[in-house]
Order: sequence, then C-alpha cells, then structure tokens
Amino acid sequence: MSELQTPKARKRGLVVQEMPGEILVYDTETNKAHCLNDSAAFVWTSCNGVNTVSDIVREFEANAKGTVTQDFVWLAIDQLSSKGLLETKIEPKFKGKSRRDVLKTIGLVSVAALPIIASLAAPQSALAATSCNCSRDSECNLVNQVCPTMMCANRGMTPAFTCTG
Amino acid sequence: MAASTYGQNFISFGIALRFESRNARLLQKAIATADRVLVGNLNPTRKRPEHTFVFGRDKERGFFVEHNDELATCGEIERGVFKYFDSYLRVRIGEFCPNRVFVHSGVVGINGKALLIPGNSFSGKSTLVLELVKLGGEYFSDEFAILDDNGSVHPYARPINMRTDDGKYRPYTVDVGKPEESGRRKLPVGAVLFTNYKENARFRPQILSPAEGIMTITPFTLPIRVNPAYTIRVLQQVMDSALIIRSKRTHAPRFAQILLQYLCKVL
Repeated sequence: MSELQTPKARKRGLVVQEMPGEILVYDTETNKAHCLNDSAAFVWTSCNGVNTVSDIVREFEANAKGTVTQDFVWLAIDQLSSKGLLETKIEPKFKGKSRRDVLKTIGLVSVAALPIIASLAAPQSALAATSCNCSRDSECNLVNQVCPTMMCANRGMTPAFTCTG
Repeated sequence: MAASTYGQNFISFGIALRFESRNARLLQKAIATADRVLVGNLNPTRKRPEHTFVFGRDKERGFFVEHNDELATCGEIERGVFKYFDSYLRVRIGEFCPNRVFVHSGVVGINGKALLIPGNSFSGKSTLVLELVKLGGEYFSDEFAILDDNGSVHPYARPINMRTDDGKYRPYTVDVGKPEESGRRKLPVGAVLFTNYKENARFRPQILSPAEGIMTITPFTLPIRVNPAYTIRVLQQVMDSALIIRSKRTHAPRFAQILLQYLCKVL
C-alpha cells in the first residue's frame, strides 16, 4: 500500500449537508445515507486529491483536533472507500486484522474521537410502509398476487389468505 | 390505455392530477376517495396534469386503476381496488409533492409545538397519538407529518377509528372537523420521538444529534429518493431546532402520561 496515495472525496451524485460536528451525505446512486462524525468528516473534506495521509495527519493536528496517527486517518479512509465516498476505491489497509484489534491499537495512541460513519439505506418502496387497508379478505384485491405492502391487516388472520412478497 | 369519456383535473399539494373513466359512477367514486385521502386538499384546475389516473372495469382485469398508462392495481372486488388506490394515492402525493416533505409519522400538538412520532403502518403510532390526544394533545395526524421549508408541520387530520382494549372493545373516534373550524394550524416541530414497543420498558430518553435524527427519520421519509436535496434541507430545518429522542416504550396509556410530563418540562 502506497503511503503517497492522495485519496479524493467523491462529489458526483452526492447530496451533502454540513452540520455542527457532523456531515450528512446522501448518495443518490445507491440511495444510502451516511452520517460522518467530526473526525471522519474532517478526513473526508481533507481528501482533495493532493493531500497524502501524512498531510492529513498534520492538518488534523494543526486544526487542534487532537493527536493522531496515520492508522487513524487510514481507518477513516478505509470506511470512506468501502462506502463509495471516494473517487476511486482504495485497497483496505487493515485487511486480515479484526476490527476490534484495529480500534484498540488506534484508540490507545490517538487522542481524538475515532472516525465513525453510520450508514442507512433508504427503503425501495414507499408503498411498502403503508397499509393496503384491507380489513377482510373479501375486500383484498391482492389475494394470489404479490402484496407490495407486506402490511396487510389480513395477514395471518384467515387460512385462505396469504400475503407474500 | 383504455379510452375514457369522463375526466376532471385537480391540483393537490402542488401536484396536477387528472382522474378519468368511461364510467361516471367510478369517476365520482375516485374523486370522492381522493378528496378523503387528501383531506379536502383537492381543487379543480386547468393546469396540465402530471399524473393521470384511469379507472375502469374489463373482463380481463376486473376493476382496475392505471397511473400514467401503467397498471397500478386491479381485482374483482371494487372495494378492494379503491382501498388500494387510497394507499397508493397517499404515497404518490407524498413522494412527488414539490414543496412539502411527507414523513410517515404521528403528529400531536403540545404547548404550541408539534411532537413527531415517525413510524410505518402498524408500528403503534396511532395508538400512542390517540392516548396523547386523550390527555389533551392536539390531534394533527396519525399518518403523515407534512413538513415545509421552515421546518413547520401541517395537519393531515384524517379521522381515526380505533378499538381500545379496556375489556369492552369499543371504538374511539377522533373527530377532526375542518381545519379552519378547529383552529388547527401549522406548528413548529418541538420534538421528534423514535420509539418501539417493548413490554415493561422504562422511558429512558436518549438524545440524538441533528444528523442522527435525519438518518433515523430517512426510512420514513417518502420523497427521499425522488427529491433528496430538498428533503434533507427540510429535515435539517426540523432537526436543528427540535429535541430528538429515542426510547423504548411500554403500554401506550402509561407511556403517554410519562412522555407528556417529560415534554411539558422540556418544550
């Protein structure tokens, strides 16, 4: 793995909302939402295609965000890469190591909140979250068809009716 | 597309709609259903429609509804088809409304601010909304929070009719009246509660950050895929000024009392 890599934050297809201490990123290509904490957000915004990992470490400390190591920054970059938030995918730095071991090592040396990215997928079908409003199987037009809602009030109530899908 | 004889154009929540049918009775039923679904927010217009719904019946499909030339639903039972249309229209309006963000959520007004309880159907939000209304909360909705650019929430007050389990199973109806009569108006969002039921759970509110709030509400937000930039902007307006709480909840009547006491202190 080259320590001279200059990762670049992806901009295409992303809706970015900056908030105090956090960044929310919605990826319109995968329909996933990502919440970057302060540390992860700083690393991401520092990935400008010019900065190396060492440069990012220096900037992190210069911005009074705490003392960190290159592994700390790599932890953020690994997560950013796996979630598609960098222009090009980066080879994972900590391949073969358990996440617990990595975090333990980094956490002991770094004096800053570990970079964390929480992710969530937007549901595919808004209709799936809404009841189809059937109250009796005689009213339900979805018998023998795939029910898009999976929330039919009839489900399990009569042996003749099965909501599948 | 089936040839149509009768048709009418409407505008609802900023979306131009058209309903068509060769059968006058079906058309009237469609309009009445839409008017109920959209809580009276259905006004005649001459605007060119963006969404056309065609209602009909034929030997092959039985009763059917087409949306922009694609089959939305069909079946032998007219009532079933219109019940599905009820859900379908709500969701489509919620997805495509250009200047509001629809969120699956119960909404109750407390001390001049709104409490949002996001959740999908059958998650128990109607039950909790009902208990809060019984304790004096102002009923806004048991289904959608309609958020605007300023982060305020508008009512979507459809009547709810629930069976309460007090040993007698009698229905409880919330009479919503007309918004202008009841004085129901938009409210700023004061709190957002993410909750799910767990027997004997204690109320232990965990405060979330605005970004966590947006993340957690995303699965319940209808237009997130259709208009993500606008949606997130509006959600940020809401989350920036609201108290965002996550907690398990116990039986609704007991939980509603505890929650109300807590909110009256913090809102």
